[in-house]
Amino acid sequence: MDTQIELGQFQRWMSAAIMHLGTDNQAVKSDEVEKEIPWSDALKFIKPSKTLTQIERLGLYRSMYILRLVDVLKMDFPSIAYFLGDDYRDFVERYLQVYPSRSYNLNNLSYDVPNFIKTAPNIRRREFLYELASLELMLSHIFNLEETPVLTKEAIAKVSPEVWETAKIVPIKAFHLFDFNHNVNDYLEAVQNDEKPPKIKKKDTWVAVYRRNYKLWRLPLSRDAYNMLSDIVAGKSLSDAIVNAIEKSREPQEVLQKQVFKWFQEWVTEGFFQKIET
Amino acid sequence: MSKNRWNFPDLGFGIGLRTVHYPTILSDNPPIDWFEIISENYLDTKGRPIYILDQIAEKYPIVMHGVSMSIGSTDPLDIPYLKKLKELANHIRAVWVSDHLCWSGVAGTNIHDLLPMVYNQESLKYTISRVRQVSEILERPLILENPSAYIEFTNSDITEWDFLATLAKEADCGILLDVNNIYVSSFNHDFDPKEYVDAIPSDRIVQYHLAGHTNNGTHIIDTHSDYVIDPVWQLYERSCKRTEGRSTLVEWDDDIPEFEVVHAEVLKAKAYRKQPEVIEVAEVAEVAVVGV
Ligand SMILES: [Fe+2]
Repeated sequence: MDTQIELGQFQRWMSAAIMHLGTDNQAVKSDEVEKEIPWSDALKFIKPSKTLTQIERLGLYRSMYILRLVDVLKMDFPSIAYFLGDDYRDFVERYLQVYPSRSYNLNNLSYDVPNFIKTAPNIRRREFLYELASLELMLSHIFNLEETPVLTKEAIAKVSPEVWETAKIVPIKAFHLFDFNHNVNDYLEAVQNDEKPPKIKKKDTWVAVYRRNYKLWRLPLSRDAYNMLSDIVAGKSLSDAIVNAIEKSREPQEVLQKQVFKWFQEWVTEGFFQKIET
Repeated sequence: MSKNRWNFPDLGFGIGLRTVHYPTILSDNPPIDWFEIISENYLDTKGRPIYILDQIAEKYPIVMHGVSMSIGSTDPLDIPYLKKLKELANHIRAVWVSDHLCWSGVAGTNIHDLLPMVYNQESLKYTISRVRQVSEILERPLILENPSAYIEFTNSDITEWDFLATLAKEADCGILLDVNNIYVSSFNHDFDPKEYVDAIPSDRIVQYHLAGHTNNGTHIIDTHSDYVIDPVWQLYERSCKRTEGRSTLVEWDDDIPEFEVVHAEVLKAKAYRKQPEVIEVAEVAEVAVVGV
């Protein structure tokens, strides 16, 4: 018999038996697992130990599998785990049925959590949870992005006034803007601080997610600030971004002009930008 | 007494690098001999993990220890993964690269566990060819660790120690001998751990692992969550009598105490390998390998 087929069959059986939901008994007698090797045959090639039966020995691997991945996903999605409470483990089990790990890198296991929330049946507060998962996933993503040099106030001071007409400002790589329909950032903030999260509500919110000195940060934004930053991120010149923000704003022009100056200072201090392109 | 086959240096007494210890390591420059990293934690990232690792690699020798090579899997080798391993090894000047004698998944899925292999002629022949391929891609000898196991199979007709010894010889790979894993498996499978230790060809042993475990009465789980127990120290001492100056490392992965506690644990090893005796090196177990 071909080695590949024989070893492969054994491995497919064991892998399917470990990943199957339900009790140990249900797993080994399920169609998916018995399709590889019927349990009556499997019993013949697993050795019992002095103290454990065949199924108990297999069960050790099964329980470690789910516990490990429950823990791993909780590191990336602490607020999702908090929100789901006792349902969190069931959520992970269901997720792994649709999106089992297919990578050597456990970070990749998280990628489809927002998609799963969007499409899986019986998800409570689906829209809120989708936004919360997107925010948490982005934090993990930004954590691993490359560091880019940060634009300093001194460098900005050296730019001659006429250049600002057309200058574009490039954000750092580890930067992302969110436009949410729920208070997800407040919710995450509370969970991170071990506080009781606010009541979930439908509310337009805006937040910048970024990394400075290898630490993750989130800055809540006003609608006007978000609009201006979005234009900058989209590659519009700074002056166009300011004009657009003023036009879109409900604030009087003088008020917004002052605010724009303050925002820009704050964003530079926070290290949002890497360079000016003239 | 034997040197290792590749003259890998004796790095002394190290511990597994874990994120909770980063602040202590970076601020105190503790006088530890070396660190071992979990390779996968530093692949595919250009953020804090690699930023910190670069600083530590400037000051200490680093060894790479992977958990996802899946050398025993019937799936094809993950070539991009192996290339990334090689890149990282070159980048941090890793002294050597190790992984486990196990499989981690099949049919494209990954269980993220060190799953037990069937030990027979077919799997031996298959694993030998895989190890050779990996060594070629990595452009260095692969070092393989004996895993802890909780299940064994009736179609295994070779002992794990004979399998490992023959694999090391035929595929020309090194051995990372985890004496705690030997103890764990000997308890779970009811064999004599001394027989295992004595059967390993000493010139292939490049490194030792020591760790604590959790004894549940009916079985032991390799949790890396406690101090090394005396019977494991004794196995280490027994093996050290056959190996001269091999790098030794304590792994602690759960309920991780302060840096000093883990460091103190590995320094205990000094006493166990202090007075080496010259004894005969066991012959590599003769297991016929067909057609390799
Ligand atoms: Fe180990």
